[in-house]
Amino acid sequence: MTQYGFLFDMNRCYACQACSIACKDWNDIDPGAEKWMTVYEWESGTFPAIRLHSLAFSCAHCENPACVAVCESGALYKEDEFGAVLVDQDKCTGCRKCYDACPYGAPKFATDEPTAKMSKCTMCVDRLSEGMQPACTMSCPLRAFDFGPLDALIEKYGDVRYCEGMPAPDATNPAFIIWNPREKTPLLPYDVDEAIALNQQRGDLGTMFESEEDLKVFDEGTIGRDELKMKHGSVIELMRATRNDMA
Amino acid sequence: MDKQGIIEASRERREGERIFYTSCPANGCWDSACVLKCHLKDGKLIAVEPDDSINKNDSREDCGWENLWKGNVQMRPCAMGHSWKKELYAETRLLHPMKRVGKKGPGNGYFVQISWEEALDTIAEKMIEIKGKYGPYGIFHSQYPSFEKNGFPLAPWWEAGFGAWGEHSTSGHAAGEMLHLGVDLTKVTKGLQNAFPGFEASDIFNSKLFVMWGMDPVVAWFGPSSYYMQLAHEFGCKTIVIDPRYTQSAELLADQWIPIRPGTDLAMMLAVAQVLFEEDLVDHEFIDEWVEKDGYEQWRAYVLGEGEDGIKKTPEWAAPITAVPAETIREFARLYGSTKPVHLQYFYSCAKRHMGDYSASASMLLQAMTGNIACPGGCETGACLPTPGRVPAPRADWQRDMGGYQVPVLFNNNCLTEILASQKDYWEGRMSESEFRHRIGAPTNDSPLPNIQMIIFENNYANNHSNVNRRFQGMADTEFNWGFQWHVNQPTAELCDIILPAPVWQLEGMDEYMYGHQRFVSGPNGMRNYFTFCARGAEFPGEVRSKEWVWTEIAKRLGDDVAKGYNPRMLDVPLEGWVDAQEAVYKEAFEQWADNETVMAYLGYDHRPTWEEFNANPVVRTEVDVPYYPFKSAMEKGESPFNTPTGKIEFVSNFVKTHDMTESRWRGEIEAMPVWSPSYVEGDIGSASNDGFYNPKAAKYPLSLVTPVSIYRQHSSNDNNPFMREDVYRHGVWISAVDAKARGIKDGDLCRVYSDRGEALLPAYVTSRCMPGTSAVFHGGWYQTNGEPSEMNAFGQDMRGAPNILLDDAHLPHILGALIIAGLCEVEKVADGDAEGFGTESQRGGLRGAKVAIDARDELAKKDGARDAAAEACE
Repeated sequence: MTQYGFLFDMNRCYACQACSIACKDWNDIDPGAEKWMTVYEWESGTFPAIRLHSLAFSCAHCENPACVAVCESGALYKEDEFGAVLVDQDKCTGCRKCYDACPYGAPKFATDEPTAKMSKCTMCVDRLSEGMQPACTMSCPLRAFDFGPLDALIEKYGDVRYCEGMPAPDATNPAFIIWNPREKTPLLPYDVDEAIALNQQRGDLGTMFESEEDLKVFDEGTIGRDELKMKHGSVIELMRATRNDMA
Repeated sequence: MDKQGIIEASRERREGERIFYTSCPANGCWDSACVLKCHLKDGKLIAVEPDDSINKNDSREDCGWENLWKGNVQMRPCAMGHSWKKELYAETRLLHPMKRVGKKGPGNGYFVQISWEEALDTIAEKMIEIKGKYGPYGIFHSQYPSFEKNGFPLAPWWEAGFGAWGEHSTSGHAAGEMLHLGVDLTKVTKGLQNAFPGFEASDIFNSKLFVMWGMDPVVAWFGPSSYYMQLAHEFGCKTIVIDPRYTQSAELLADQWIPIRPGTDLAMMLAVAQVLFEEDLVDHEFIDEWVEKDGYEQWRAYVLGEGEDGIKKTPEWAAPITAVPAETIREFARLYGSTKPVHLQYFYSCAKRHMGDYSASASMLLQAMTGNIACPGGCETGACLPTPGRVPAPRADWQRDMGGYQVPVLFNNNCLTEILASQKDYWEGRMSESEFRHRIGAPTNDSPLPNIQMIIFENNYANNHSNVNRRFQGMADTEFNWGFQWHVNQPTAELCDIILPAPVWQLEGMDEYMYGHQRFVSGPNGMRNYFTFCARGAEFPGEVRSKEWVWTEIAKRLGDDVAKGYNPRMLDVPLEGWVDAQEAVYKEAFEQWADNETVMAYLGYDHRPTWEEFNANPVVRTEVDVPYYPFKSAMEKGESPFNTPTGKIEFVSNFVKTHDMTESRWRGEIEAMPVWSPSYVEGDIGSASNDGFYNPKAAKYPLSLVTPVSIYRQHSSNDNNPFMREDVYRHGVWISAVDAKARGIKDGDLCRVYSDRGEALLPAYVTSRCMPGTSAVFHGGWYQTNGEPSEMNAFGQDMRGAPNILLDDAHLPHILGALIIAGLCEVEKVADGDAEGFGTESQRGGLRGAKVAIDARDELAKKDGARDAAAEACE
């Protein structure tokens, strides 16, 4: 077996979801929570020192998949040509042990019903078998993905399989290499304290807020997406975590 | 299902399929004409893959520096391009002709199905009746009444309809661009200027500094340009985003984000100019050759405080207005003035606000004084999109004669609402002719005046311009409207007496694209080194029929001359053979093109392609030798591309100085050079402009609202698409975390967003990504209502959120022409988001929220029992 895998370049992802829709389109999946490809967008920092992060993640087709290890019905298995982790839905009982075991939330369920069977990213083994690359990686408008034998990817792109907020990779060895966001080197001086002071005033109309604290401290839940969260308690939570606000 | 099972299921899904290629540009895709590989089975679209005509099976598309320069790259579609299946087969798709029972406007009527025969007969009768009663200017066609044209297909032979001057997209930049640069986009589109102002995507590789001012290319600018901007950044081009929001472009494309208060750009530009003048960071050589001296000196004096107002426009002056620290402005000016070439693009959305023309003009003057306006790696920063075509494409010949009727230009295309609101008063003698002309932007004092009693819609026009409440009222008040629509719940349908089910031209049948673009499609700019033949697409669902067939049938009912003029080759073609006959005309065009050996050699064909070969490889490319830069074709010949009275860039417009602008087509006042305090209004721009951050009105409506274009709609197309709405995005109101906290709002809470023009219900997106005091609602959301009047909306609460319902459309006393896309609003919490949950949230605001509008009509219909009767009659 040659383990295939993904490169994902966070510096090129704007959470546009073309990959997620291309996946559903190709694999004939209905709108809703069965998002084999999930796209997360979250912010960090406070105004005006703010960063935005995006992660498009389907399944890492791990070298040591935790989901396969816990599947009691033998529905989950590692396929022997490309190293894809696949589910045989005929055998799946919907017990969700795989979901609990997977650090990345890769197993997907169309509903919260206990009868829902698991489905997941197939690495597009159908396309691979015809010499094509996966639907998601080919559809990225900014070419954030690469796909191929994991060894070759590591040689070309290094071996970081983690971004901030993701579970540590040691447990499962995900076949998912990540180029993390580059540090930004500002071109111009920008005095944050002065900027905040300027933002506080509004000419004859008075002030905008009382103190700098107001920009920095918020109750939990005020800001919608301020962390990467890949595991979800329900369909609603998954949908909320994988929708953006760009329309 | 095991692995083999997965593979076999996939093959089975595609067994017996037909592959065809198409491109899906819509007005709103800007430079892109992406390439879609479509899978069709049993006449239906089953999947879309991205362009595979080049660099196959390379996800990262590492095709090398040289190929990038030459434009040898895939034209990958955005999320919308992959969503077409759900658009075509949406539950809400309009599948039959329908007539309205009751009055127009939400809450006043409903639709029943009718036959095509009845629909076409009624429409033709009404057209004849209204032309008889009100003359040729009683009928208005909504598709692209711009660039001094109109898209009404039968106008030349039926002799009715009228056009408009101006356009929507760059309308805030247009006045400044014409008055200071002598560049008229209408003339550019007609080929009447000696050089195009645009740039090709790879020209960005020539830039040393790229300033995205109010520009969010990855979200708002589909296609190759944003990809090339990303590459330029990776290759080391310095990049800055100046924007009230921390956009995805600010994160990905920019070294640095400089937040600026909406509508205050001019203040920062003046301060930048002040530093450039004071520190002599200007391009004297360029100025000597291309800039008119007196005006330059006059603006210089104004900026340096040597003019009448005596105010030196220093960074310290601009800082409290813009909320950008003075040191940052000064260092920005120094970096800008000492780097070359600079692609500074003041995106055209920023100027589509009250008196935005001044900031647009100032951005062009900055690019002129630094010599960056007409060079490789530079930017014109006006309507800086169009570039020359590179690929000779076939041209289908429908053998239409020219007809005897040139549509007259009667108004400014952003003033339709004003015509509808004012025309009754004018024609009944309650408004003077002069005032009516001023309100609507009549091009001259003797141009005919309209009395619109029929609107023919070929889009979602009702929803898509500011002041929706006023617009809806005007549209509901005409005698008879009809149009092509795509979804039963499209807002514009509520303003129609008959709606016809329309094809999605890119993927169904073989109709042509807007503006007479045929099915050999290339983008307007960015990358024009290819075209795609959009082959025959899917079967029409339901009773959808070719629009060209519809127009031919209507033409026949209006008279033999109209039919012979409009579509002489197709007069006797029966409906069953219609698409075949269209395809035959395209094939004929192909054959003639392929017969041209010079063209074939230029395009690199080693033999004359057959029709089958062409259909299998319908993406025809050439290589970009030297990328087009602004005004390249004129600059290379040493000709002036600046068609001002002096033939130079005029910092002070001689046209304005020598004309009474209130009697020009702009019908208002404008200063001859960009200034912060125009002489004809009280206060400065900030307090005088209706959407200004410092307008006293902000005491009541404190949030400055912008309405940027989105990533999941082309204008309002696709707003119903179940692959996108509520699935990958939430249509909400952006509010800064500090403002949300002050209002007790948490992310996801249902909020009422209101202004002095209207109101809408939207979930809150609470984020530190926008400046305190600012908010945003993305353009193109559909007005969905149950028709019961609410506090601010006569036709009912907007359950989904059309931002245009919040925006004003007044212009006076300033010149008109710009389509206003900014305003002031307030946001208040209505309900706890967490309590609502996903299901009801989507019922309220999402796709299933379309039910609100549909159910309201169903209720009315049920009361009458009329639908059952109509259904029986149809059968």
